[in-house]
Amino acid sequence: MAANSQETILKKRTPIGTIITVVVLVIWIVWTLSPLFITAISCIKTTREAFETPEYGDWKGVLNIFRFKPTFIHFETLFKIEGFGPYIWHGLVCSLSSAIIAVVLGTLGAYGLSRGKFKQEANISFWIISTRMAPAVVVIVPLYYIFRRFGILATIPGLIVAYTTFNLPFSLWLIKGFFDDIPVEIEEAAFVDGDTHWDVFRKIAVPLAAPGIVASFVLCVLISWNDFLFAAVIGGHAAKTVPVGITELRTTVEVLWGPINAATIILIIPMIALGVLIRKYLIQGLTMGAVRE
Amino acid sequence: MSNNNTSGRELSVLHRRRHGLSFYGWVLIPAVFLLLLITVYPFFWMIVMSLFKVAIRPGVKNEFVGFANYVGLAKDSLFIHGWVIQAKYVGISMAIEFILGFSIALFLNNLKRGANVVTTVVLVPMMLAPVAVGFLYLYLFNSSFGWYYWFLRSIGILKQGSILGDMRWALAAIIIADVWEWTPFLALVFLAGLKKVPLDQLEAAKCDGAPPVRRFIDVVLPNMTSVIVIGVLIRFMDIMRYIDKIFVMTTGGPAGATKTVSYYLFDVAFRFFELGRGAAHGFVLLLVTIFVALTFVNVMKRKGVER
Repeated sequence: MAANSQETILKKRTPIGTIITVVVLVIWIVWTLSPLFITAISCIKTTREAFETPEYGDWKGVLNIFRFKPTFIHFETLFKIEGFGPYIWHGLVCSLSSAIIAVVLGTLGAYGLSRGKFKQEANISFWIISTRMAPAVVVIVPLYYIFRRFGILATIPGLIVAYTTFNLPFSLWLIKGFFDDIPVEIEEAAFVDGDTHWDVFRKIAVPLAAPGIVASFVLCVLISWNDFLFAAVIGGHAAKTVPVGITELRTTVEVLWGPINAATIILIIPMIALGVLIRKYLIQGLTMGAVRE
Repeated sequence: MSNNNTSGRELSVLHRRRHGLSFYGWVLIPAVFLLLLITVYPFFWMIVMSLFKVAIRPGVKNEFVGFANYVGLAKDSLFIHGWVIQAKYVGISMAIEFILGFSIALFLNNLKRGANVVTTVVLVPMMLAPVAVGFLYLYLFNSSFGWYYWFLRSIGILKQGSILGDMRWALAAIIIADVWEWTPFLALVFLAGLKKVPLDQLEAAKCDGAPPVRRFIDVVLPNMTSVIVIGVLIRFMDIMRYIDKIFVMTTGGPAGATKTVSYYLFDVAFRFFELGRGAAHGFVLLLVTIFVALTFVNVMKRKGVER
C-alpha cells in the first residue's frame, strides 16, 4: 500500500497538523536523547566539571554544560585501576558463544519444526514460547543450585549455558518464523530434481532465511551482552561482565561517577550500533515474531 | 499461528521415512534435548527445592519441610506488600507507556518524510542494557548534580530533599526510567499495526461522513486489537522479568518502597541465600506468568495474528 495514502487514518494532512506532528516528535527525540547526551558529555569531563550544575532557576547557566576540556581520565581509571578489560572480554566470549550455540541448534531445530509434522507440535511450541516468558529472576534460583552441584558456577562455560537458557528458545522460535515464510514449492522443486533433505536445507532454506538468522544471532548477542542478573549470580568473579562490573563501581563508601559514565558508554555504544543494523527485524524479534513491521 | 496449523506449509514429498524419525525429527532433536536439559530439568528442581529447606553450606543435608515455604510466603508481609508495589509499578508504567506509545505511533504514522530516521532515533533506548538505563537515571536524579533533579527544582515541582531517597518519589523515578526505555517498543508495535489498517475500510467510513474520532474507534481500533494485545502482553512479561533498574537505582529502598515481588525474590535467594523459600517464591511468580503466557498463546490462536 502506498505510504502517503496512510494520511487518511485520522484526517487529511493540514499545515497545523504537520506542525504539531513535528513539534511532538522533536520533543520526544529530545527526551530520548538527553540522558544519553548528558552521560556521554559527562564521561569526558573531570569529576568536578561533571558535577557542576547552575543555581536552581538559572536557565542561562545550562550552557555551562559545554564549558570543559575533554579528558579521557575516566577511561584510563576504568581500564588501569578498575580492570575493565577482562569484563569486556568475558561479555564478548559468553554472549558470542551462547549466540552461536543458540543459532546453530536453533536453525536446525526451527527447520525441523517448520517443515516436519509432529504429534506434540502444539505442546513443543507452547513450551518454547513459555520458556521465553519465565521471569529471569525465577529461572535463576534452580540454575544457581544445579550449577553449584555440577561445579560450573562462576565459570565462563556456566555463564554460556545460562545465557543459552533464554537464547535457544528465542532463536528457535524466531527462526522458525523465517522458515515459515519461505514458499515450500521452491524446496519441493529441488526434491524433484533429486536433492537430499540436507542439500535442500543447506542450499535453499538456509540462504533464503539468512537475513532472519543473522538478525536472530545479533539479538541473542544483544540480550546476553546487556544481561545483568545471570552474570551477577551465575558468572561470579571468573565470568564478570560489564553490567556487573559497573554496579561494583557503586560502593557503600562512594559512587565513582566518572568511571561509571565511561563504562556506561562502553556498554551501550556497540549495542546501539547492532540494534540499528538489524532495525528492520527488531520489533519482530522482540515480539517473538508475532508483530512485523 | 502457523505452528498449530501448519498443514499448508509442510512438504508433500518425501515427508516421512517409513522407519524411525524423519529428517525433520533428527534436526529438531539436538535443540529439544538441550532445552530439556536447561529448562525442564531446572523447572523440576525448582519444584523440589520449594519443598525443602535448602542447605547452602557443603556437607549439610537438605531438610524436607513440605509446604512450609509456601505457608511462609503467605505470612510474609514483605511478599504480600511486594505484590502491591509490583502492581503499582507495572500498572502505572504500562498505562503511561500505552498512552504515550499510541500517540507517538500516530504521529510517526503521520510523518511524510524522515520517518525512518526518526523511528530509528526513537527506538535507541530499547537497545540499552537495563543496568545502563538505571545508571543514566541514577545520575540524572542525583540531588546534588543530577540535571533532571535540577530541572524539577528549577520549574518548582520539587521543593527540597532527594528523589530516589524519598518514599513517595522513588517508585515514580523508576517508572520514569521504564517509560523512557520501553515506550518506543509499544510505539513501534502500534505503528506496525497502524500500517496494516485496511485503507478501503477507512475510505468507506470517510465516504459515509464519519468524523476522525469515529473512524478511529470504528475502523482503526478493531483492526489493531491483536497487535495491541501482543504488545501489551510482551511488555507485561518483560516488566516482570527485569529487576536491573531497581537494583541500580534504589536496591528496593528507601524502606522497601520499591521492593517489588520480583526484586524481593532476588533478596530472598541471593542476599539471604534461602534457596528453598526463593524457589517457592519463584514458583508462585512463574504460575502468574504461565497464566499470562497461556492467555498470550490463546489470543494469538484466536486472532490468527498476521501470518
